[in-house]
Amino acid sequence: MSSRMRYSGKKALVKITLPLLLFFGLCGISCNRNYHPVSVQYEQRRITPQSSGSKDLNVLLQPYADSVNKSMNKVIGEVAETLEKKLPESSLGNLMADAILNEATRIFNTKVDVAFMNYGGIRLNQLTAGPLTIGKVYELMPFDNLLVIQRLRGTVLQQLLDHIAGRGGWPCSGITYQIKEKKAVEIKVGGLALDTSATYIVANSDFIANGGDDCEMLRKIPQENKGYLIRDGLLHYFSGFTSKGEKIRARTDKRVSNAD
Amino acid sequence: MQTRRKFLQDAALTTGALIAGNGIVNDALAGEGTERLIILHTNDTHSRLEPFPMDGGRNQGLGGVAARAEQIRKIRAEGAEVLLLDAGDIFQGTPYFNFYKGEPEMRAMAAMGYDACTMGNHDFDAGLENFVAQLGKATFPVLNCNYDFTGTPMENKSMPYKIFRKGKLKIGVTGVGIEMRGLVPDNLYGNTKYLDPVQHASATAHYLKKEKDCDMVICLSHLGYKYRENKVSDEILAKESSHIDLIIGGHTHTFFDAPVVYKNKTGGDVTVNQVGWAGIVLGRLDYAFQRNKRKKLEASHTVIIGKKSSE
Repeated sequence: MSSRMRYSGKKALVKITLPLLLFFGLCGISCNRNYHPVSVQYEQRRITPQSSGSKDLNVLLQPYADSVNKSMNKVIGEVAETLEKKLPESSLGNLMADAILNEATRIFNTKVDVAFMNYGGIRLNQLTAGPLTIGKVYELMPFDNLLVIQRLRGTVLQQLLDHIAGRGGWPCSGITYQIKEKKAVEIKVGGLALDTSATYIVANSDFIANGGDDCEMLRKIPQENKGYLIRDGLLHYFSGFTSKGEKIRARTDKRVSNAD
Repeated sequence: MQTRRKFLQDAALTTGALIAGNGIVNDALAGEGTERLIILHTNDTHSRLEPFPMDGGRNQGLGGVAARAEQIRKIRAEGAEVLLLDAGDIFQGTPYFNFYKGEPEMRAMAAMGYDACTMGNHDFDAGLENFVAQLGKATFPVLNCNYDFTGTPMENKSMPYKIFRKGKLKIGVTGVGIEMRGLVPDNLYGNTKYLDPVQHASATAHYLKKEKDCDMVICLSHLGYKYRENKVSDEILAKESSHIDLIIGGHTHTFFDAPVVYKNKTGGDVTVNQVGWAGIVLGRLDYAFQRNKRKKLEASHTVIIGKKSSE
């Protein structure tokens, strides 16, 4: 339809000459009617704070912002030094994995051997030094994932660790391992070498325990679940520093390293 | 001019991708019968409605829908035709989503005049029924050609493609999504079936070019830029497809310094771009189009890429 419109716009084509007719005949019907992209100039434009904001958007956002910020701006603690998310091990990852181990132990009232925090589930790249608001914890863990435990045979724990090693290593607590050729080696649970015939209590989010991040080996294994959100666990654990009069701190301590 | 362009095309064919200086690109743009289109795009905005807080973090002050809307308004005021697109994961990441399940995100995008988006894995996060409810606040379609939503709340709520008429141009836009199993909780995607994105995007693009006479096909993709393992990605889609001119990517939160150009199955150029996440960057691609001169160009034409000179 568009091609006809374009032709009719060019009256000159009506007086078409024989050579031109032949040319079109050779080209076929699809020739010389469409456009095609010939060049592109790009700009990756940063949205900077200097640019004055749209009034319309500010008006649209205001009622939502008022309501969200009222509860989310509450400060629950103080981060001592900026914590970073990195592979294979990081201060932010260790803080979150320690929180999951501690909270699982408390909530399920049992000894928990190992806790994992899937790397992709950490949704801020850093937790900056200074006041920590509830809103920041929501940004760190926006998902309504539940804290669950599973009883894993040593062989399954090895499979899980190999899967994790293949993805560059996830934050963990209660366990140390090295990554060698995308496999987990030198695995120690509570300081002892992994026993493939033993059973370990492992804490994860229900997302991972249900086979998320391709953790197929966990899908069929029964879970215990108290309806407690990982995010609520983080909020409780972080508030614990404050009630003890401490700042929130974490460090790397060679839990996960590359063997080579 | 013709000789010089021929030279550039040949050079680009041998080097794969040609990054030209501004002068050369401007020459190519100056030709008569040239049509122009500005494509603006975002991906993985993740409910970042406000700028990052001024907390000393590396992104402090960046992003936010009010600042983005203002930039878009200024670009529209330049007078050229604009297509504003998003490659998915509009939802999840700030308390706004926990509170309002995507309503302010959709309303903000409608206010900015988005033309289309595709669906990312996190757009399933509050369930398909919720996504449909929030789509009610959108004024733009969700484009996807590789999810079969039959028997889900999304049935007939998305479109495999949409054709936009911009000046004399017909631009076909489609979209592809990532495999849900192992990524999205089973209960959230329900009966949604994942279909091969390369096959379906290529078939849709072929249809848009051959049956619908589109001058360009854009694929909004939430597959991710590329992976170490053999997993379908924008890179694989670019190399193994045909008829797609531009892939606007997402999912891997990759900040491209510049768009990347690949040769597709028939030797044509496919441009891929992605602008990180959280609305920190707005992608801008100023395209120039010319009428096809020879049939050969249609199957394997070359696109000259250059950095836009700052104003």
